[in-house]
Amino acid sequence: MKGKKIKDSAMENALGKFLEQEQYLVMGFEKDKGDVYHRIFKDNLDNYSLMNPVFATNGALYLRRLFAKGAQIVIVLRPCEVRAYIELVKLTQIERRNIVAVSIDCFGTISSKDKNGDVPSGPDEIKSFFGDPEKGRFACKNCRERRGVVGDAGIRIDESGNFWTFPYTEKGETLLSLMEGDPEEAPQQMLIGENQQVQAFQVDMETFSKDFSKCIMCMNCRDMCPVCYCVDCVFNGDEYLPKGDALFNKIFRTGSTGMPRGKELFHLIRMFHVSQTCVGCGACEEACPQGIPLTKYFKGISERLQGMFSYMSGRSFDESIPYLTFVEDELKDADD
Amino acid sequence: MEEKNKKNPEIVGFACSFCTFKASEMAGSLRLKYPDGVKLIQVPCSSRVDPAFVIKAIFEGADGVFVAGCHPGDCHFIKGNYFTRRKIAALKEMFDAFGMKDKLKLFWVSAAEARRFVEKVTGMYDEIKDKKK
Repeated sequence: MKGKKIKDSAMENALGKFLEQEQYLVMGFEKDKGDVYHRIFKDNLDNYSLMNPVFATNGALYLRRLFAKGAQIVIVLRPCEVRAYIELVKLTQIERRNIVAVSIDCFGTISSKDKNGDVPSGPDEIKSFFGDPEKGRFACKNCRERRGVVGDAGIRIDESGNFWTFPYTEKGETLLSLMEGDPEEAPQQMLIGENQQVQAFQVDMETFSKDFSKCIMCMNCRDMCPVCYCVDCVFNGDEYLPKGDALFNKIFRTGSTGMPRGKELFHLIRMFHVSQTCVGCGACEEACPQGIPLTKYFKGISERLQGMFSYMSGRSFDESIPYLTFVEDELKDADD
Repeated sequence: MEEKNKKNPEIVGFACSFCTFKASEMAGSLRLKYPDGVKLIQVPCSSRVDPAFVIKAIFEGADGVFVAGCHPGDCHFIKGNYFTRRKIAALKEMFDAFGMKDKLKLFWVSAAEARRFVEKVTGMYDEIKDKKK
């Protein structure tokens, strides 16, 4: 595959050329005194950081319902964030023509809750930092796609530590044409390879109830989920939670009920609603004040359910979300 | 009251108004009996059933839930039950992961199959009743 080798600050220069045009914005990471956060740049790329080893929120969240009046945004984010963006494009929550998405190889991230002191910034530092497999979040250790192979263009790192840019669409070609140098043949082997398959997720209701008994129904997990996008969520207000007669009926029929009521209901319904679009980024767990292992459940269930339809969330723009389409000749044994 | 609840399960059924609900009416006119614990909810099409309804029914005390619609290809709205099939098959897979697969069933029953409807519903009722004991 042909790509361009990124020399020194070629990427910043290319993004800078975008910013010279009136209507362009760049969304990426800003490194400031050891902290790395999302930032949208307009005038200059001060403190710009290509990589971010700390996960706080998923960047695709901020692109939702951003109907730009002619503005163009170049997003340079982690693969999980670009995958969430692709899912949101399919769900018509983001206008694709306004955005150039670039994904970067990711070594994994640490939780913003666990961060103490300075975070590593350069690729070599990050690589050696995550050399210890114990480090990093659960979601990153079990990541399905950490290669920058999604979006309009991708930034990959080869085994000798060089950065490469590869175009995947016409928009990616435009970005590449702004960079110095000529396209060269890139090495086959990259630093970050494909991830191995994990076995099907299996749990029992007792463990589930135990894990979620800590839930206080703050709904932070829903608010911070990039693909949980409904404006009018069924759990806004308490219409969908058992109350009055329904609550009494539940207590009489099942013997007892945990409080706040309906927490299992909330998580299971949300689990199903995001099952085909969940990218497994772990933003829900990051937002949870109670430390519930949400990623384990949401990622496990979504991988299992996506596997049924040989679908992978955010893999490409052309695959349709399984619940929105069908094949006549399938699932012959679905009925009992 | 408690004794009665222990013995008799309650099953919530979502029935498509064009086929399964008609079949249940026909079963009534044929004097076919099906268990009292089966509560039917009429829906305009089986694809109207959001899996959230099923989860809500189970977590508010139902012992089992079934979704019933027309045979694939016979939908009044042309392709509604194909979407049902995908959604409910995925929901079953999710219930399987939590080890409660037997709580959800999907039936295809046409308006003329009153006998099939009664057989299916009674079969599911008995299965759940046996497990409850």
